[in-house]
Amino acid sequence: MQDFSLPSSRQTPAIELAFSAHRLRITGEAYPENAVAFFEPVLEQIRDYLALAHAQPIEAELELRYLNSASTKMIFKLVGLLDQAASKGRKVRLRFVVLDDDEMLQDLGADMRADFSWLDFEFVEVAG
Amino acid sequence: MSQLPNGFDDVAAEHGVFFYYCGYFSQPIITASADAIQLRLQGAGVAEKSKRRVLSAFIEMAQNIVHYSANALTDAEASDQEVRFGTIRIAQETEGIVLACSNPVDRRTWERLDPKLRVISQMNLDAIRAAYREALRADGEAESKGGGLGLLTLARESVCPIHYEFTPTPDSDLMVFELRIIV
Repeated sequence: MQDFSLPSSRQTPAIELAFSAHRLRITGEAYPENAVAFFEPVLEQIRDYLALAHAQPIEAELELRYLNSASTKMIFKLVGLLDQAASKGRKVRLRFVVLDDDEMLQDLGADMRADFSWLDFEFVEVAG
Repeated sequence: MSQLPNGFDDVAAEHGVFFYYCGYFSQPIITASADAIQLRLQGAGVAEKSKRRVLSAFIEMAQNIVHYSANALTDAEASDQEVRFGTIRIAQETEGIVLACSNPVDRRTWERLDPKLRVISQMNLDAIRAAYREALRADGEAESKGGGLGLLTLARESVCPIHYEFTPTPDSDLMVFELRIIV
């Protein structure tokens, strides 16, 4: 499957889906006008990739800043896809990097950790 | 340029208003306004945490206007590059930073929002957080371009229950929707 990348914009994060290396990375802010329209194609690619059911472990990293509510929901959904793959035996490691004074994203990380127990979840706080 | 006594500028200053916009909202206007607000907050020495809350609440409010205001320049069925009318005011008041928004809504939006807001406005923070977590996990909200999660985000950012009102307009069947939170 072909790798996919999208540079960041003022209101959308940088997306790096290096499927060939089994590395997925999303960094930056997300508050597009229509979060479903922005994220759904990204989720679709990840679904297709996961359906190929490689054996190699996946390294995912989210280093997010501000997310609006609709983007928060899409990111949660995305991590849900990874967790689902992990529940079927794929090894998935998620590095979730947040600023130490960003409560909303810290809470999101806690919610993910609570729901998505199949992931090898690494929560990293960096100085804001 | 001289100012009229008791003019708009004086009233705004008296009420601690540092951002006021009444007009058409679009995504580029939201992004630029967020920059303007951030600069004002920085200049005023507002703590990073509060700054984040103000900006988050502003963007939720402004995107609500873009999605749901009944006064639209763009097609009513559009879901991207929309331009719709509303007002947002941000002011430093004694109880905190107040964010207030208003826009006209049609009957259908009123019927959908009113019961949601009634419930949210009576919740304490624990209940809001629980409802937020539930909405985060809920699958798709057909009616919504992002979700009830937006209103719950506003409620979460607010230090007191959200205050809202729907006021009938005299010359149309639209209602004026107003929402106020304190960060």
